[in-house]
Amino acid sequence: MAYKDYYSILGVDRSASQDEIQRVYKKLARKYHPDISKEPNAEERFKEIGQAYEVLRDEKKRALYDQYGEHWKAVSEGRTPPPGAEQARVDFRDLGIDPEQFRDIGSVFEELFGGGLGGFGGFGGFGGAPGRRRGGPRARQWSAPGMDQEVEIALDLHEAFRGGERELALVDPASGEQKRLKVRIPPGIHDGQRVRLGGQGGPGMGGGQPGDLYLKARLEPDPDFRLEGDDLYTSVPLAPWEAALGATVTVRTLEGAGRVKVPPGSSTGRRIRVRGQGFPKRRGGRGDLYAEIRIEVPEELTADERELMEKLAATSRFRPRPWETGGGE
Amino acid sequence: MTRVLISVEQIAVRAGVDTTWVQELVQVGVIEPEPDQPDLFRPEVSLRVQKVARLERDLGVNPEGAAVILDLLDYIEQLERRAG
Repeated sequence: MAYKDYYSILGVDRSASQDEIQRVYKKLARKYHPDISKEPNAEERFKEIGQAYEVLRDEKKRALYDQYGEHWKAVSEGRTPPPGAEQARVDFRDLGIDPEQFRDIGSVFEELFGGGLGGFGGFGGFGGAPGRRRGGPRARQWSAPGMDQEVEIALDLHEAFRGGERELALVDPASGEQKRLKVRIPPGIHDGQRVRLGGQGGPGMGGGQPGDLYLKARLEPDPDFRLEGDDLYTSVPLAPWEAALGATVTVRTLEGAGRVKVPPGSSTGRRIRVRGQGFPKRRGGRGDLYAEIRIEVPEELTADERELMEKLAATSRFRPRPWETGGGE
Repeated sequence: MTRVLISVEQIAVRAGVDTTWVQELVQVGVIEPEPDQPDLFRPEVSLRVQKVARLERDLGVNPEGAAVILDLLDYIEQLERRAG
């Protein structure tokens, strides 16, 4: 990681008071906390902010930092700062910070096949030892299991419906090592549903078990279908005469197409249920497909169509707007 | 599909926290056991506990506050999906 000035990371002046540094840090920590933030690089930013704060919050460390910049640490340990400007790296493991918090280096996932994948798992955290307050979480010292991690996996509706195998590549940013994972997506996975991959999360420490990896499904909106619960909705455009007279028409289903019978006198918004053509249900069976009627008219009428329509307009007693009294107009 | 369930102890080990702390989360309803298995939880619960622990450690949010945050985030996500 390239060296960055701690003051500019926090966006404070070099003369900022300790109070101001704390205030700014807390605000940024809330904004970029990886469990909360939707910022794309939240995790990286959060770590950066934490590193900057660990030094600037402490007046002694801050004074050394002000004098020696990124080499402050070497100086604090009685070493002479290296002549090369880029060599000194601040290693927080030596700063009396619980190294356990670093056990999770934050795996980055890349998807080999299919759509994009927004990772937000694998995060170590910084803000001091956990649970010093009464009743808080407390770190165990002897050995520690790896953290559970969560990444989003984008699926289109058809992929979610079919399920099946997907291949993911897990890249450890520290070592650059890549591990490939075959994942079984259960058919009919819903938005927000998670698939657990046991032992594929963060590595354990001191013989601890690795954590689990959760893939959280994110269903992309589909141009043809809308999913509500286990039921699917799709629209069926009809010509006015089909809607008025009734017709048997083709509707799109996730498996291709099906036929539905539109009863005479079907207005826009009417739903025709096609049983069992929805999404697979968790406990077996399937939801339904609803074909929603939408009446469409030709953009331009032929002379014949126009004549017939005008005849209809002159003859029909149909009043679609009951609030209009008299003869309209 | 077989159902994998985990105990309070397993959750505590995975999250690196004390069992009693996880039990407190159950008492205040931040996490809930399976309806038919009063002492067992779905494995995702461990993920939630880890998030709650991190929010407490990093931001000083208490578990109930963390639960509100996580639930609201889920809700926002749902709304965003629906808005497409």
